[in-house]
Amino acid sequence: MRRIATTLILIFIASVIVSAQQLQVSGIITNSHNNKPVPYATIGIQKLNLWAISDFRGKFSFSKIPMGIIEFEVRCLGFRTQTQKLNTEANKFIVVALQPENLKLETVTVTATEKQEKGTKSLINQQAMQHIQPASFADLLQLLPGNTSVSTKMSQVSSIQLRQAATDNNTALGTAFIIDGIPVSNNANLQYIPNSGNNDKIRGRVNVTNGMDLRSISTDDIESVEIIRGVPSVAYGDLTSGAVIIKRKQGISKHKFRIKSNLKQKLLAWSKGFTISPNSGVFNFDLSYLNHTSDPSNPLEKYQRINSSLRYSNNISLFNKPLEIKTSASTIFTIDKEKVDPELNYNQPDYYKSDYTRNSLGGSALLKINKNWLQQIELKLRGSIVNTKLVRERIVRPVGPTPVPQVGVIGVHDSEYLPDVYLAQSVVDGAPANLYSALIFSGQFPFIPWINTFKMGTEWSWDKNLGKGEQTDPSRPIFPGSWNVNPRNFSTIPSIQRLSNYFEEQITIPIKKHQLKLQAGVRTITPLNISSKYYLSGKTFIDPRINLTWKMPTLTIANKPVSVNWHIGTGWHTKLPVIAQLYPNEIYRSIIQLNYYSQNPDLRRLNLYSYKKDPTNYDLKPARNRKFELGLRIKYNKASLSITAFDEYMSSGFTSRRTYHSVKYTDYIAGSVPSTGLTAPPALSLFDYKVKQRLFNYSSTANAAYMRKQGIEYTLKLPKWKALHTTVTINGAYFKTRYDNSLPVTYKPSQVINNEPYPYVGIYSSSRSSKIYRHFNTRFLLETHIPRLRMVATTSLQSVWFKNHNNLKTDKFPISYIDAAGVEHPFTSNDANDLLLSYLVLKFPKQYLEPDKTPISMSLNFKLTKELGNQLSLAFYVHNLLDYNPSYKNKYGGTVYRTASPSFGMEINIKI
Amino acid sequence: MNKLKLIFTLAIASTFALFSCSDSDDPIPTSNVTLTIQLPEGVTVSDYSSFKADLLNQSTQQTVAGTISDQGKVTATVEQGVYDITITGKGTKTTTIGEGDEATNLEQTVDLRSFSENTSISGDAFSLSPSLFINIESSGWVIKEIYFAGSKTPEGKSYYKDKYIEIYNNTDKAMYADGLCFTESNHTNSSSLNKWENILNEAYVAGFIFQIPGTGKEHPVQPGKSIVIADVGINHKAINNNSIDLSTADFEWYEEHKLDSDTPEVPNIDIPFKASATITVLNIFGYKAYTIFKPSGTIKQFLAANKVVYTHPNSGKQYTYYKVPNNLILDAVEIGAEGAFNTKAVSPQLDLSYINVGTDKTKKYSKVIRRKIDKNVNGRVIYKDTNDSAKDFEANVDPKPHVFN
Repeated sequence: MRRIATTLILIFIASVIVSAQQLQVSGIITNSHNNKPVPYATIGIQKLNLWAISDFRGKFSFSKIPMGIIEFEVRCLGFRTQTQKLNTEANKFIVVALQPENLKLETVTVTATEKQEKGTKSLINQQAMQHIQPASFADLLQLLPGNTSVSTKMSQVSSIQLRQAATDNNTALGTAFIIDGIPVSNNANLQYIPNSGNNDKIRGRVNVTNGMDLRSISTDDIESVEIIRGVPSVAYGDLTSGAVIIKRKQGISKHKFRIKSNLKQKLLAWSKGFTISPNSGVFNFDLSYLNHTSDPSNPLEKYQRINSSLRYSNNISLFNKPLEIKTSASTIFTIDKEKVDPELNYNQPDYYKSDYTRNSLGGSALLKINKNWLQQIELKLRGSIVNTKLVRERIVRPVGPTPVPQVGVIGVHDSEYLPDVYLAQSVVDGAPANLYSALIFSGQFPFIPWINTFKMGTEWSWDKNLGKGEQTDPSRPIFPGSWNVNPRNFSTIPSIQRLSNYFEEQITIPIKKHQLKLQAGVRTITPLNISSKYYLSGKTFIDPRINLTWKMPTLTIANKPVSVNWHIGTGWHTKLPVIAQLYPNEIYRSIIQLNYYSQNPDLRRLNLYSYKKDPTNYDLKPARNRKFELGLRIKYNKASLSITAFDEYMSSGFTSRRTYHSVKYTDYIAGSVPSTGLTAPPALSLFDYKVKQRLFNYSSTANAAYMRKQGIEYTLKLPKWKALHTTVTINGAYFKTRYDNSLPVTYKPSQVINNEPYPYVGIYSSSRSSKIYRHFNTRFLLETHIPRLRMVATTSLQSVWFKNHNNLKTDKFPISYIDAAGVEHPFTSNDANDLLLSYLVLKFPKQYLEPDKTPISMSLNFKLTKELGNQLSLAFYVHNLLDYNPSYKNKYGGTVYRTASPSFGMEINIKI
Repeated sequence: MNKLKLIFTLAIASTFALFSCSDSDDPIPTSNVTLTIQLPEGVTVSDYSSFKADLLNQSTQQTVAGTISDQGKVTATVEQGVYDITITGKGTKTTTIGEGDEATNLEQTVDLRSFSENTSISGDAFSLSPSLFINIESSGWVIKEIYFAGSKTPEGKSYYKDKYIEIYNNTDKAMYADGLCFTESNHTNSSSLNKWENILNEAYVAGFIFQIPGTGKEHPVQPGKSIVIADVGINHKAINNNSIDLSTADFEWYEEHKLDSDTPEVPNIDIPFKASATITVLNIFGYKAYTIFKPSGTIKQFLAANKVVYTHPNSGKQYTYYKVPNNLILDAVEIGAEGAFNTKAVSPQLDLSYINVGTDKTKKYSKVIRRKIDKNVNGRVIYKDTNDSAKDFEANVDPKPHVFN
């Protein structure tokens, strides 16, 4: 005990000594072009986690800076981000001259920059965005290793996919989007029409459990994007797969106009950053409009988007301490619609339309205390409300006489047949609202002998849908046969609330000439406001995460420096279920007992037996993903190679799972009562009947999705080939993704034998949908930049060497089966010989296990950006300029023909 | 220009001259043809005297009859050229019904036939092993018409609960319809691969089997009369003016399904088998074959003896279907659409061709395919039944259920 006390005292004394060595450093930011001061530039010292903003005279200062070499990173809207070192032993003042961002500069960055430190990520700056010419955030994803350039189809929801060879909802749901430090939530979305049929216009437009719709994120207000695929800092939570950190423009700029046009899209954007007076702070304003037509010849299918935001930031002082405030008000408005041409539809309505308006208001205040233990306190607040309305309307002509249930009635009751023609309408009124608040403390532990910073935060979020829900007449369904329509008022559903706490420490440890950078933290997440019936109630989930970078000493080979960095990261990531998964709607089911559709309309009678089921899964747990990654980065002279191997494992992903139950009802035989002589619908007692028992099912959300993502991402950047002004970058990835079920699965053959539907359900230990997908690609990117011509062109040869997937062998026999009475029986070897039970035996033919291979696919894409003076810049692209997509034989012997058609577009950027 | 024309004419003329020279000057060489008859499985022939082999020269249209040996070898000496070779004869077919102790062997005399079209015979000796198939004679029951495409409402929407099929007694005797089955093929003939191709010459695989109920003497059908099996037996015109009146249908197929309705005035047909529990609609494009047959025992015995399993290569699920041996099939008609027709769903011995309904959907709505009238005997219509639906049927004609003229 005494020894510990002595140690503590020693540490305290040491910390006093260390702190005594700390200095005050100041500086000025200037514009290299005209030597004028640059206000509102952000100056950061990464390893100390310190940030400052230059004032209107371009000045800034930091206190508590240790002795030694300090690296400043300076970013400012319209300027190239610059890093500069200062040896504080010799100097306490620094001048950073920023270069205005244009193509006259020797170095420009028009692709993503890969970083491994603090979790593998891709950084995308404004110049790159201008060069890609995106219509929405989805277009930026083509820059990630392993992703291929695809033309985004804006008539359907676009979801993010990371490090995978196939697509799934869990990745999209588990990727957090953080805009200006505050996460955007889609946790309360309920916009869909239940049982709307697979081929309806609503298909591909439902975004309830798959995260952010990338279409709605405009890129015109974005200054930079960080897409973290590795292990993100514990400051980011409620995620399983990745984090997208978006920083919006902040700073003074001219009027910027962007006009983009291609066959399908027209985009107009305007942005401006300005001040009213020197000390007023800076205002940033932007407005953009996008119009997307899926098929240029069909004006009836459209996606339109208007984004607008006004942001304000300023440095003021509070209790003599600098206080940075940022506020923003944003609006997104989108319309997604598809209509059947009335001229082809006998002038009758048949359309889908979804309006979406999201208004948000938020801000943050960062107070710099500048004490060792507590350097800054940040408070973040934001509220957003979405008003969204989905309308599906059409004239329905049933294909023949069709029964319709009465929704909301339980027990035995009569119902009716649908009219010959009717107008069906369903309006889904949703209003997902979100509140977010966070309080973050950061500082350093002076007793740790190395440079270190810590961050400690607490976050609270609230999501609730305030909408009126689905408004429809269940007796006039959009699709005859959709019997589970059960309108509910969304505002009756409880809110979901999350409370998170985190603590993270970053330490830089020099060991001789080596350097270890450690980022380690723990995050907890606790669901609040949840009934004790749920497993989640009262539980706290803990995510420990760690990133370690080992910087080896720089060597010299053939007079050129070689630097080697190793990176290792691992951690747990938790995503809590969203409202649609926690609070599914009650299911009403009706079974026809008498279907007496007499030729005489007066005698018709439809009798039903109806009951109710609650599909809520009270045992629902969060989806948890474990990540591991190992990276290596070698820099030799001006060439660099980085390789990252990763392994992600999740067995509790959300998926929909069927549950079977047995129902007993009376089947009255219509033919047993002749209609002759009747004057009114016959009484049930007149009929011959059979008591029947059958299995029915409903779906509920379960933690049954198994996902394993493995792979290698690589980027090789060669030094500039001066004679050709060209830099060659080779990047790509090999992905292996396995999807499986982590809970037993069911299978019910759908057949009729001897007038009866197939009666049994087989239960299997492992999934039949178990599949492994593989994908290997390389992109050869030639970046030709001629500063004299103010021009940059990229030629990318995108090659997907192969893509394949195969089934995994699973059990042939079910473990058990459920009979029509709902009783579960073990499946014995004798059952395999039974005429009916043998239906449940699976067989794996040779083809089943063989991989389904897609051979090489190549395409050549070209993009060009040219500046005409300081005001005007033109950009142009051609996708699939050339392509090589040989036809091939699939494993079933069929020939698959592939085509890729070229597409092109251009845009103009004006700065006044 | 004139010069060119002249050269062209000369060139054509000289070509003709060359051909005519070779025709007139050299005698056509002959070839010794040997045909080894391959019998279908389960068929034996004890006496080949009933057999006939004809070799029809396509250019001369002359027929040479082959000589048939006791072992079923056909020999002939013919001029070299392109021939259609037809072999006919009678054999004995043995069928086993039931399993184990309950098994019974049935023997029936069957007509055998083979047809080798466009066979090029060249060389001094030519040999071929034609496979014979069982040639079904008109049974008496024929499919008279099928309303498969449904209709459109005046608003242009699909309406398809008005589909029906009509089965006709083509004989001069009254027959009982009890136990008669109506099926649609599992195979869709627009698909390039028939998963049942290897058994096509012995059996046909059904996607559904509907059976007329009855003990055997409940549903007599007089000569020249028919039975109509409808999806829903009501007057559809009351709902959709472009449809038809099916209130006089003899049977309807009612499925316990939330999209179906049961008309008490029209008895329901039995559903011994349906490959999917979804609601049954006849293929709207006409990409299927339809057959009628009568099982030799009860339907349960029939199902037990004729189960076939298809394993889906992608899911490992085994799907059970039931095959109908070709020799049980009383009548078959294959519907197809030119350009979309790829592989036959029934053996050519049951239906040599298909009735082409075209690819224009609008032409099929509210229309039927109907068997042509062969002759009229004392006011009784006899429909044409040569097992060649392209010749036996008319496509896209107005429906006439229960009307025979």
